[in-house]
Amino acid sequence: MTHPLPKPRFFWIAFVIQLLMMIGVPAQAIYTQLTGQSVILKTIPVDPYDPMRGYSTTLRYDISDVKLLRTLPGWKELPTVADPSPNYDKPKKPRPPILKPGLTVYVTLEQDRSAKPSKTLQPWKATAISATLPTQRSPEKVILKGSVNSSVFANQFVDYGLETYYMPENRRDEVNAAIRDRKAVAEIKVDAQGHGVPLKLRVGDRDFEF
Amino acid sequence: MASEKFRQELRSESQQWRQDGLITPEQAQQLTDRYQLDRLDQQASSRFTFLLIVVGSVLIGLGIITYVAANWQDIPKIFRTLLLFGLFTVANLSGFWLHRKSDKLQQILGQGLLLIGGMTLGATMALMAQMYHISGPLHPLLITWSIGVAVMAYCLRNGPLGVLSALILGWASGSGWGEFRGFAGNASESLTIHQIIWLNLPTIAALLYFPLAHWCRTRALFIIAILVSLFSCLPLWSEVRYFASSSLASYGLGFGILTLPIAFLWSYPLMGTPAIASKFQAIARNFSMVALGFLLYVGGFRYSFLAPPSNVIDITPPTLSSIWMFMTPGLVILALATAKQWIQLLRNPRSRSLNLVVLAMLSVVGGYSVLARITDRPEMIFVLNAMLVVLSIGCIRESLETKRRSQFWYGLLVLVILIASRFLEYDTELILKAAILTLCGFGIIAAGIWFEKYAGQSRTSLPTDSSGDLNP
Repeated sequence: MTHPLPKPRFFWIAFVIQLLMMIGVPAQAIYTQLTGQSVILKTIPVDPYDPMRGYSTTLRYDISDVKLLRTLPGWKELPTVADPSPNYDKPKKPRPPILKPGLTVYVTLEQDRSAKPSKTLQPWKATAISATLPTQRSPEKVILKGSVNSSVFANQFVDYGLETYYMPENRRDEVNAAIRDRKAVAEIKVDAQGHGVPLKLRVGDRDFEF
Repeated sequence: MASEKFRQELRSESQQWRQDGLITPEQAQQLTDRYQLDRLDQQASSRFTFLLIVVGSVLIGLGIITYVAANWQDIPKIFRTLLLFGLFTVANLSGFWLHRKSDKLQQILGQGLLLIGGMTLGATMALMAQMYHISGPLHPLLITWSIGVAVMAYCLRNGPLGVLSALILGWASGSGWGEFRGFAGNASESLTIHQIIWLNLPTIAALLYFPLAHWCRTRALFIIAILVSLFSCLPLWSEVRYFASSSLASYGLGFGILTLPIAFLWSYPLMGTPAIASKFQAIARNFSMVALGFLLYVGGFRYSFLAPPSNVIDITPPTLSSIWMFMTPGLVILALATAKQWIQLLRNPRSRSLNLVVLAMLSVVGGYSVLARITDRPEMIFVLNAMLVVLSIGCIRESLETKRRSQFWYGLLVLVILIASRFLEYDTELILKAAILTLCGFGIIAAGIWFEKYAGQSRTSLPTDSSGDLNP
């Protein structure tokens, strides 16, 4: 097995490609962090583990729930499909239609002005939903892009790419215990295209930023 | 170069011959020079060092990845990033530099460092995802990592890096399987590039690693590439009944994904240097027979993923059928290559009837799982079982001619599993089950003893390859 020696030029090509791959992973997130606007969202966490990226908390937001989104202006215009899951209670009666799985939605968020100013950060409120990026923008509104999760049909929810928050193994229990007892909010940044990136968790008056 | 086993035997024999006066010292020296008998020990020890260093490097790499996963957040972000990028650069540069040295030990060390570099690539990508809390499934990261390592493997013509890359791709395939039902339900316009790659993994694994295995002449890479390619077929096979359901095109896709990978491996051409070509062809054929046996066996059950889904409550996502169209590019490439190889295969009169039998079996098993939805004929299950019997008996018969032990045992094993499965699946009385299992046991022992005796007898009269591995 004696092959001619590989040329250094080829090594450098591969090396640079691999470097670009590593930088490419967080590129979008860095852009969003640098250019984005801060938003506070109400969260509900649970905790899994992933062999490559370690321990994390899976976050759901109040705006992840389709039940909340259903009340927003613009909901009726979203494309729906028939729910394929069987209706066990009333087999004859079809289930109400569901949002098209994988559908991209844009949720408009606004600061809650009615709430009294307090020590804890006030979560923002969703005020509208649409299937396309709204063209009319105003500085106090932030548009967050999400996609309808396709793994469940009934009780659908929307993913925003903000669902995972990684944390050190040794502080996992501490964070989860803190979150379990109190109301948690997440501070995120959202860029002009609607991409979000989570920055920190605030539980009561404690901040967790990893 | 002759095999190492032969050279070792030759060395001990030639020493004996010289002592007995059969050959002169000059002739013994000529033999030593011709077969490089004096380098045997050195080669064995360098191979041992190589294995040790490879195992060590893989462990170090896994350590780094787990360390990242444990979230070492006590160190500031910038240092973490610098540390991993630094490790990546140092491992790759020093690995490349040492790998080009003439000294064997340095070369092996260099290889180990290159492997660590490849693993660090994944660790750094994972750290980046972790630092910016990027959510979503794992398989896109694994696919990108695997391609990155493959690029380095090609640029350096490096087999071990190819193996690393193939194993990561296998991981990506398995990891995507769990997430598959989720994204299979997505509207087609929102499929990401990684999901499309995942749907085409059987072809991509073959395209990525078969040429590299030929180029580096690495048998291990070829075997792992086939395994990864077949493994990535499994999730698609298990979902055939969901996508072969609507249009003619979907039936075509279902038939293609079931039959083409196996047909391609069966007709794998003789390529590259003669020594490698026939070995690789034999490996590909062996795997195609194992895969065909697997499909026939699964299809032989009354309820399996190949059977019509009449008794299963199906929750077919509404947009599912459109997703499968994204398998088309890979299947078209595979179909063209397979067709070309089969035309050559069938033009050759040698073992044409065998090839036709394999083709017929593939068409029936592919046709069954696709057409079962329309026709639902229970007698088809009998046909599939009968074909598996033919396959196993064919293997046993062939093994008697070629004296290949592995083939004999494969045929026998398939036969026994088949009989046992049928008796356990159908409602037979316990006493009959007991009798059949006992008979199978006796049968195997008797057949095994008979074959070993038979093979032993003919080995004394015929020079045969007794290496006992997958080679013919």
